[in-house]
Amino acid sequence: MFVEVLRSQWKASLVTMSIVAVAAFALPLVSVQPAGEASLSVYNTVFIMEELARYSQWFGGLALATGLLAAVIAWGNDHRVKHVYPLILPVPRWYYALLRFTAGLVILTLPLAALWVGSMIAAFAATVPVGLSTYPHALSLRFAIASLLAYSIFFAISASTTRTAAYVLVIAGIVVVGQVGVGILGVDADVMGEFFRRLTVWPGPFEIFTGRWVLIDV
Amino acid sequence: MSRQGAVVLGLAVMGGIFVAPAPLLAQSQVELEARVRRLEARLEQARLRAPQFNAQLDTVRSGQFTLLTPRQDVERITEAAQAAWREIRTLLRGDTNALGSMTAAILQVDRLASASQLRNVLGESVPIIGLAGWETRDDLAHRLVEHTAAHVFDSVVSPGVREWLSRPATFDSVTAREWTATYVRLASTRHARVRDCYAGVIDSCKTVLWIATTAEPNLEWYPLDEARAVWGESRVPSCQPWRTDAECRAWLRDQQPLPPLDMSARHEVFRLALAVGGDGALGRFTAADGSVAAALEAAADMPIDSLVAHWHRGVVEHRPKATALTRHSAWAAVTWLVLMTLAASRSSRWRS
Repeated sequence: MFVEVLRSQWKASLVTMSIVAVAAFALPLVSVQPAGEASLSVYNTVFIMEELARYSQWFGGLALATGLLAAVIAWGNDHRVKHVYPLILPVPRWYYALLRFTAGLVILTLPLAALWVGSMIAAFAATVPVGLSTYPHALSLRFAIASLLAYSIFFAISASTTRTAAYVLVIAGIVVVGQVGVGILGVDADVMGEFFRRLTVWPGPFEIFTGRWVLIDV
Repeated sequence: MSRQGAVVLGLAVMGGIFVAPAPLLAQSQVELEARVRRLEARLEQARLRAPQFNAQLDTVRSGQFTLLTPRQDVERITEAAQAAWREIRTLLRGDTNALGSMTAAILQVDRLASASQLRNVLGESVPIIGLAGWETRDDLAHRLVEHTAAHVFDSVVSPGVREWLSRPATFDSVTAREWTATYVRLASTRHARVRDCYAGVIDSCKTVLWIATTAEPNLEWYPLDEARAVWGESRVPSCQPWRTDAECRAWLRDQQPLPPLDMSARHEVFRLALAVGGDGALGRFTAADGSVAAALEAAADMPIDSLVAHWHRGVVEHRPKATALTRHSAWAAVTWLVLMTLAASRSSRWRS
């Protein structure tokens, strides 16, 4: 049964994942363009580091987008048929969900492998200033874990009912209303900032997306 | 000779003394009139010039600024000067006594043709700041802050300290971005002395920061093999492989100082000294008439080794966060991944 699930998911995601894979392959190569000068002085090093750091958000964003697209495509067919066919299958729901999840993991290997290959080529081709090192494996591992985490989060959201989505929206709404409320009351409190800080600082779920994503570093 | 004859002779001699040069001082009527006409023309020019500047220039005072500015720009210059003074007080943490009075003239750039005339009136000691029409209040405030930095630079008593600073430095605390940039410079250097500094050898840091002065700094900074590698690559003839050590050494000796760490690192030490030195730090620094180390010690009110160690600590603490995944981040991500997977596998669709 897993093969059938994988085949249907693969067909649905082939075009999208191919485009993502191309982007994942190209991003490391583009990011090391500042390090392409034949002669580098020590004074260029800081400039190169700053230019490389500009691509940090692109790596994090691509990891998030990769997971999101894989998760949306995983449940796309079932959403279209309003989950009638999957629900009549003679398998427990949790088993079916795990089949879908695992099929998505297999499909995700395509963009993850593309990024790893792109990183290796970029690390080999770039002119690395003295004192800096390349981190293709570390970057690829981080991208993989971040993509998988994003995939699992959006997979869980896509697998849920409309009621669950409403719960999520209510929570977000409470945070926004809370921020507006403290502003009206004149209380000096940053509700939204604290909420986002909890999400993006360890042990929050999005901590892995923050920080520097650079192929060449000290 | 009778008495009368002697008196006459004396008078004649004295008359000869005074009368004889008379032909040299005498002038014709024509010459006199020409001279008078020239003097009257100069007087008229001066009369014209005085009201030109008196009518066009007004004085703006804000804090310790005294600014001469055309009347039509007074409002804009006043706002800019107030903003600049607020910023300067913030940057110097209220310690502005050392600045003294700062006077400058501000002219629109299209009127700089009259700057030389203004220079004749004001003298060389009053700087003239050119102002472009498109510059905003904030632009001008920034220029005034830069002018203050230049004023401080000029106030430094010791020529050695001025040479060490090289250019006017700002007064604000070193930012995290600057610390990180310095970390990258230290970590990625190809110079042995800077590597030693990065490793924590304070004496090496004092050397590369040009605080420990020597008679031949280039020879102190660059071991010969490193000099041959660095300047040999740059095709300096004296340091090519086929030249002797003495030739390369002689070339280094003849060059201007070539510090392996650029001016920004020295400015960081200066700014750090102001930050830790508290009230009066700037005044102590500018008034110090001795070595760079003495000036920094006076500003920071601490031994130079402690100040340099403080600087080194600041650099090391701002190491950029590594690309590599830390164990904590990885475990947190995997835990959330498992939790989300479990949440997704719950059979919510059979329940209403």
